[in-house]
Amino acid sequence: MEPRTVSDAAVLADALAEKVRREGEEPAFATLESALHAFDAQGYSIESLLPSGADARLGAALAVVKSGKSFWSAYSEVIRETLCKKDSELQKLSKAGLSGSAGALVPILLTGLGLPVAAISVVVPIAAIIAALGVDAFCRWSTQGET
Amino acid sequence: MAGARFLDVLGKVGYSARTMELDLQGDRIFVSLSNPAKAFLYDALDLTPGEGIRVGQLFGRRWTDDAALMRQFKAMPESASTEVLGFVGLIVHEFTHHLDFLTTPFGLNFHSKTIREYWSMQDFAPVLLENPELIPERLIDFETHFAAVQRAGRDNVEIPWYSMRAWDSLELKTYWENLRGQVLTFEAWGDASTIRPLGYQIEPGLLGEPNSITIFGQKFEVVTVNSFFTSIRPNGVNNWYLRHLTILETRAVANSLNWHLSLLGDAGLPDVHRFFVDVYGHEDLPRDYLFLFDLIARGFGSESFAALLAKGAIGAIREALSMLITSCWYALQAPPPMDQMSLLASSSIVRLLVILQTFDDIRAGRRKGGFASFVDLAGEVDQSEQAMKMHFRPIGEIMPFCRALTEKLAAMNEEKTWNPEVRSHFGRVLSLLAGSLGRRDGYASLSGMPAEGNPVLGLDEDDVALLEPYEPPAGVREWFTFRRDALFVFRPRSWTIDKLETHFGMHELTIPCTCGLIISGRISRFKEGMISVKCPQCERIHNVDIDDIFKINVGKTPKRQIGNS
Repeated sequence: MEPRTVSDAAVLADALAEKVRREGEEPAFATLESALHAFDAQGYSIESLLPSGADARLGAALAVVKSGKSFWSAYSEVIRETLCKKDSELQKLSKAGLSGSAGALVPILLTGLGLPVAAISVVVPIAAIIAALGVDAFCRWSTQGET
Repeated sequence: MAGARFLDVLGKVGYSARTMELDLQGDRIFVSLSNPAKAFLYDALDLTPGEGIRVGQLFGRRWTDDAALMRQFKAMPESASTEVLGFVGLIVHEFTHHLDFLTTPFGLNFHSKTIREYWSMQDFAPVLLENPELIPERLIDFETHFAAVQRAGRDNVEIPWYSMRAWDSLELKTYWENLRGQVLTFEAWGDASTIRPLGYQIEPGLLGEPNSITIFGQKFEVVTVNSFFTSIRPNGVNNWYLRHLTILETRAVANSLNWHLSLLGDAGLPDVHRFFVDVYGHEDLPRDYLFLFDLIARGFGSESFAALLAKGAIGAIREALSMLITSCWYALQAPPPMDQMSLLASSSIVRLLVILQTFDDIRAGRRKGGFASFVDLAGEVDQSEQAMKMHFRPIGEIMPFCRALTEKLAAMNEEKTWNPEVRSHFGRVLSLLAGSLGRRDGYASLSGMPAEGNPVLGLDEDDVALLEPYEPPAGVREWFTFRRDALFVFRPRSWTIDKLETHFGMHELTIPCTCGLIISGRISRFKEGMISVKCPQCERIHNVDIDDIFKINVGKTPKRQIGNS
């Protein structure tokens, strides 16, 4: 099911987070891959979601991100850098005891990362993975050096 | 299959055209090789353990001339020989990119648009920073975001005051208009990388008319991107179209394969085939790498270039590689717009399609009469009816135009670029272009169409500056690191504001005039010497030495303030 609103997405994310807790991250990667295909089919490109942190490049054998797992691998770094800072919305959520709530993460991810509404399906599995891990665990390594 | 570790590092090797940086992954690439591959390279390149590799060593002797070396190569595990070819090919690959951007009219067009984009951003960013709610998640969406904010404002009287000012600001609109052309062009070009415009910006047909084109028996749909850029895509494919990355990667891969065949001779064909399939056969590779290879292979009766390599017909393979190199070379001679009729003539893609159709006609026997060389053929194509209709200009006119433009831009750069690091970098880019474009008057180029695939061997002593190691200044890397993501990637507004402020933040200059008016305005952080400001009330002229200004730090960017003038 494609979420049409943030509320729909929050419900889907909570359900998926439960599944991830039971079965591991694979169901979320599969959902993420489908969401990326749907995003692409709407006329957006995956490149418009993934910052490169570098000038446009050419290369001997550039690879484009297509799978859910490779997208997560690249994008989780972006989320950490953007949203795991001290006093960020993500940290506030954790302090409010909602670290494991995927539904609460959906609007924070959507607005905090500057994503368009068309990317809402992409946010659902991301929220589910972070909620299953727990915000603290997800952000921990990036805040270790920050005191 | 080559080692996963090696393929992983190979995927990270790259070239950044705007900063002119070749990222060869330092020692990582050599360290990632398997032991047999390393051992072979020590012998083949006359390396000494513990010492670095000089460019000259990579381009040393031909292995096919050394029977013992060839036996050693053939005795290696197949995965190791693929790694060896990947290693010696990567520098040919990346230098092909480097030279394509610094020795061709397309390269000048690319860099001149980059420079003009920077000048436009230099004006636009400070005004935008005063109106942060007008900053969209992708800067390229400014116009639609601006319209949305305007619509919201009409329904909401509590919109912040600065928005109201910006809406009426002719300054902001003018600056955006100046910037718009450059960013939409780069978007349509894929930013000479993998950027793709939104689906609705890619319209089927040419200037609103349905259109298709057939090349080597394959039918393509003609598309128009951002209402001006003409390209083609395979029927039924909606998420890709032929773009500059296709041309650039085709030349780099074809040069590498030619170089492999030069090192190994015809006997190396099975190894080259295996290398091609191992490195370029994976599904995560952008379509750009193989599109033209597979298209031209059809002209030789094969469904794909990999299939053509598998057939082992060395003559056909060499001819196909030559067609790929030369057709893309012809495409890269597309000049920056020379006049108002330049829309198609300045397009590398249109030039590529014209020359590919010519090759198709030759292969199919539809074109009568021979030609002595590609240079002669290209000259004939320039004079063809099709080229005339599209207002193509002969190469003899393109090159002097490019030289004059380079000279003009270099002078403008000294005047217009505020940031001294960026100014110095642009100066270097234009100086390299001036040198290389100044040494060529026609299509003939030993580095542009290298017989053995190695463009560096085609350079002469006058080209040495093109190979000098270069590290861009920190401010240059900062801007170009930020630019791509800010323009084309959805990023939080706070990130964009922070980065724009860091690079383009201005000083606010306030001058209390004797008539009682406080004169206020923005000046560049990099401004030096004297400035003159006329009071709009009493018309008194204030001549201010920048060094006499008293600075107050407010937030990130220090504000400059004059106590008494």
